[in-house]
Amino acid sequence: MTGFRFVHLADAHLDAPFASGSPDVRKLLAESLRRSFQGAVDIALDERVHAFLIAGDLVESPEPSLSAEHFLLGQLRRLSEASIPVFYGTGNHDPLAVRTGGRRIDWPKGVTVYTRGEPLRSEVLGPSGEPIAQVTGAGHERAEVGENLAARFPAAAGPLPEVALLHASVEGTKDLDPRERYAPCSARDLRGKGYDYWALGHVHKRHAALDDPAAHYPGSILGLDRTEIGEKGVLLVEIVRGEPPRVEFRRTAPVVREEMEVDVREAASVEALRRLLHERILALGDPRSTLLTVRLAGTSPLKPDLERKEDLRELEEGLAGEIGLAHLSLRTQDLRCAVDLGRVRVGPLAAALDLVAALREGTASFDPVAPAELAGIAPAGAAERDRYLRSLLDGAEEEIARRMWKEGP
Amino acid sequence: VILHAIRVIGYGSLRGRSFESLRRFVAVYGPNEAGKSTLRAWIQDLLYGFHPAAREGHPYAPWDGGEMGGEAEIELASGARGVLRRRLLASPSGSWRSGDDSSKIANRPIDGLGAITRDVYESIYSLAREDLEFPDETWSVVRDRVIGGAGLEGVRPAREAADELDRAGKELWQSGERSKNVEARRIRERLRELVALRRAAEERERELRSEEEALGRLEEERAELERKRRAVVAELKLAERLLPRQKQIDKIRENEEAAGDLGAFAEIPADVGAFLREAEKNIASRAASVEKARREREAREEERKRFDARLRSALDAKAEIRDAANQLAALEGEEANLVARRKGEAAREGALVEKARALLSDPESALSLPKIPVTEAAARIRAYRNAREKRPLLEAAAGASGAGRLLPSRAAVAWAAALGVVLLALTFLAGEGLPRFLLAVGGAAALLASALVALLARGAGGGRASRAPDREANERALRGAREEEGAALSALRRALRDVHLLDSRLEEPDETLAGELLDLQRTIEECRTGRGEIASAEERNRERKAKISSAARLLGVEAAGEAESVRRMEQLLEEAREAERLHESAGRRLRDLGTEIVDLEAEERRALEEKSAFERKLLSLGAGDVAACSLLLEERREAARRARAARLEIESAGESFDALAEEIRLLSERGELRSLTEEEIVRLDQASEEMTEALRVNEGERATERKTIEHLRDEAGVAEIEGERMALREELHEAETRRDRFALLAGIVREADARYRKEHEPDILGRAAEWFSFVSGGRYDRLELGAGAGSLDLRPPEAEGPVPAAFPISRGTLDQIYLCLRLALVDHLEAGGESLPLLFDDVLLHWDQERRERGLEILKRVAERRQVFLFTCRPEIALSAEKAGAGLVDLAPIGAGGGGGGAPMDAEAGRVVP
Repeated sequence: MTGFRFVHLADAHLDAPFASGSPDVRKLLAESLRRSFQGAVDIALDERVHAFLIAGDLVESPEPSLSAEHFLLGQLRRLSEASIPVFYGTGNHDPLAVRTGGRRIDWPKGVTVYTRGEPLRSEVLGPSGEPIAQVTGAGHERAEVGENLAARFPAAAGPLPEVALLHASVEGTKDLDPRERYAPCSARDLRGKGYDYWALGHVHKRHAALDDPAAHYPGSILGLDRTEIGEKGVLLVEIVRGEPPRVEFRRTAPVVREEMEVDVREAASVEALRRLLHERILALGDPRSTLLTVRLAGTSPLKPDLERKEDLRELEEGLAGEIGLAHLSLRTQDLRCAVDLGRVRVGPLAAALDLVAALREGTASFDPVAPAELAGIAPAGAAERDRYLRSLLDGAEEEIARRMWKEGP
Repeated sequence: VILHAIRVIGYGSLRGRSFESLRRFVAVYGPNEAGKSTLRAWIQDLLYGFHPAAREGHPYAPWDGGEMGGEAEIELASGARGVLRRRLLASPSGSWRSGDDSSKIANRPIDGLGAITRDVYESIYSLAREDLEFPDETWSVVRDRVIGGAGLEGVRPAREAADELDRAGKELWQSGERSKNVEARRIRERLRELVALRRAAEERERELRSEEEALGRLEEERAELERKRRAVVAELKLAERLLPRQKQIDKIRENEEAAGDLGAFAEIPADVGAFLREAEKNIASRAASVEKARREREAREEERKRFDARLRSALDAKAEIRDAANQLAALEGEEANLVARRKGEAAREGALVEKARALLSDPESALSLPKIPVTEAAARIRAYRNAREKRPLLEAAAGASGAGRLLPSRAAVAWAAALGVVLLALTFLAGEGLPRFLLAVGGAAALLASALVALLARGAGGGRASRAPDREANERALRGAREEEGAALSALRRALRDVHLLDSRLEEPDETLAGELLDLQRTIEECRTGRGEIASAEERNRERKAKISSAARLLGVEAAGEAESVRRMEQLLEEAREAERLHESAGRRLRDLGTEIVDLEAEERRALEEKSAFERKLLSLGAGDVAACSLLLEERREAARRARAARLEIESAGESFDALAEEIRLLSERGELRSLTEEEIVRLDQASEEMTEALRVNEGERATERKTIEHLRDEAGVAEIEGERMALREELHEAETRRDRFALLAGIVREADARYRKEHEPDILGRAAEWFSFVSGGRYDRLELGAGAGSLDLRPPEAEGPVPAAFPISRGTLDQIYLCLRLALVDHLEAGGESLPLLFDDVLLHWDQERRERGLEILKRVAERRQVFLFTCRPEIALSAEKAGAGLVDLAPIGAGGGGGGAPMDAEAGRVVP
């Protein structure tokens, strides 16, 4: 039995800027973002779906570049030519929908855009023109919508499969900056409406916000920053009335971001570190489509070497080249100097280590030690300043010991 | 800790050496490489354990794999005295034994060392010359080295570390970004550039849209120009293409009209005369064929007639002919057989007559005799013979009794036996008349009877004399026998009455007669059978002949002999068969011929009709006779050919005549195809060229636009710039955070240093003053920090003011001050724990005599509080030390003299044990 089948996509953020790596890597990411969107359209065409749903943040900003506009319209035209209707509810990045040069975009035939907070219901027609499903969608009218849009959705009615389309923050969602909780809603808001499926957007990590009714975030279509790790793509959904929706993830992102931690305490030299990393990274699988961040952890005598940007970059580029990684970033923040603190706990150095401990524990004041002017935060209250300064104490003992111990730790 | 004795099992060059009764002040003398450093290292390993804790990598591990380690007698501050042993085998081991107490300490330091780690001991307790010399340095440097760095060699002064951290921080960020090399400033500058670049990118984006619109307009303009140009070119091309075609089409139509409808004359060939001649030839040929077929039909009919009634009868009687042939074969076979048989029968009948001659009165008529009653005759003969045979016995009996004569007994028996034999022979001879077994029984009975007769005869002979009264009876019996004999003979004669036997054979009939009769009877029967068979064969042959004759007669081929008749019949049958085959063959051919003749006649008619029709059609052109009509047809056909050729020319050019004609018609009707004058053509050409030029200009403009657009697209877009901005912001944040961290750590180091000084400096200075007062003999009793801790002052007792501890005070005083500061630091660090030995390494090497003596005096005084080892390579220093009270350990061979040209050593203070 075939039900209502559609592609659920969200948070494409076309034209998004990428802060990662070199200009080449940023270019690769920008191209990959478009290829990922194109891949989603390919899936819709290959699977002959009945509809293509976009749950907001289609573009990074409401006025994308001309190039992005051409790309987007080209892809939507492919869907239009295949008679696959597109339902697009705007998000906080593209409120009131995409505009170009101050003008509304001329959407291809078959594209329905929900730009208002008041939900609208649309029929999805089958191949022979008969209604096969209902899509109810709402959009963001401005960048920071604080209202509960889900609550405004009418109750589902009728025998056809019903899908709600919304860019919203369902409470309890992890990995979401509280400052970005736009269009907040609760699970109860979703449960009470009787929809077969809530096609959500806004959270970049793919997950099911709710199982009954099914409410899914497909996540972003590409890792937009280094925290967005893992495979990215769209959801292929099929709804047969009376059965739980079948939701299948399809990867569309040609490159993925991955992150791993490597304890490097065994590496006594940069060459040994290179070998260790080579071995660990190779175990990851296909490196060619991976943008990898490796957090170096543990204590290492190489910490001073790795703090030199040029040396670190050389190591990154050398390893990426050897392994064939799309990009490699080594993060040394968690790396500690290899110092035997017990051995060096003498004289004023011991006093300094004791003072660090006291500052961390809050039994000593930062006043006599803090610089008069801080660069990393704007002038703030004492509590915030101390919190900030305390965050700087990670690895302070080893750093001080390294600086004060003549022979090196 | 006082080391009273040091013993070495194996440790570098000190293998097997022992230093006993060590004083509190020990001067260790030895030239370079004599083992001073080795002894210093062994003392440290004794106190702290082996370092490194494995033989591999330990600089003093015996190279030959010998045992490594040794022991020392040690006295602790508590007064406890014991032996400390340490070994380094596969792993380090150690033990401490004091009196009865013993404990394992593995590779741990000895108890009571407190905060004095090995590093601290190595740095502070083991002093070299430079540790006590601060020739040109300010007090702050001295202070950093002695107090700020806790006197530890490995620890940098806090001030240096803090300054370094500050520098690192300032490389990243500075307030107001004064320095050009500050990373944060560099990033901010790039960020500002990027703001400008972003604005430029946004401007480019607008420009790009504008250029795209301009390009769009140019595209529209190009399309319009193209459309117009195409129209002009199309008109020209149309005229160029269609006008000649139009003329061509008109001519074609004219020719087609002249040709008219030639459909009806399509079959008329181009050469009418040749066609007519061929038609006549064809007609003649058809007629000849008809005639030939007719002749053949007649011949065939003749053949059929030859198969007449006689031959048909022969065929009908083919079974009879075959039978006649068979009868003939049988006849001829039988005739040949009869000849032989007749001959055989004649011989057999001759033999019969011969046999009959011995028996019959008319032997020639033997064959006509009725059947001889052989069985009856045999029975009668037997009866006669039986009766006849009894008679002699009876006659003998009667003779014996007077009335008769008896046969001798042997003869009677013989007669009886003979009878039995005859009977048995008859058994086989008369097989067919009587059942064999009855004759056998009869034979047997006869033999028995003979036996019986023999017995009777014997009995009778035996009783003759005794039975005379039986004579009569015997005679009666004899008579009776004779009667019986005669009766039997009569009966025989009666039985053979019709046979006409020779009388002689009936006089004494016996079994031979019976046998001969039987043989004769059989021969007669055989002869009669032979005659019958021959008669039957002759009868059959007659019938055969009759049949053959009848068949031959029926077929009319009767001949003198059967064989000829049959040959003729067979010949006739063969003839009939051939005639029948020909008849049937002719019949089939006649049927075919009938069809052929009909067809040929039809063809002939058709050819005639065709020729006639052809002439009629030709004449229908109405030009008069056939010749005139032929000429007219030829002319019309030429017109049609020209029209066709013209059409072909059009179509071979890839055009459809009809479509072209229709196009021309429509264009002409719409006025789009018109005849153009030369002037008009020139004007249109000129317009076309102008538009082509306009298009070229447009193409140039579009290319420029495209290049501009391409150029604009090549430039970094807003997203790309924004990406870099984001990356730089992250970088800036990281730089700022790192700077804050460096600044914070610098503050921590400074604060810790200040606190350390505040906590320890007074105590160290107090202890140093104490030492200084001690070593200066009370000349100065105090050391004080100058104003702002920027200087160190000496204060003599009861002096009015402090004396700065700096030049121009004497070098010796400064040496003392520095040594006291170091001793004070040692005391401060120990803070009530064990007083560890001080190890001085040629600290007095470059001091002058006076200064050296004061130094030795100080060491002597120090040794009162803790053990002092003074290592030197100079014998004069060693001797001076000895003079000052030090015990001397000479690491050089006794009496070998010191290195460096020093005086010979007196080893009184230290005993060297090999």
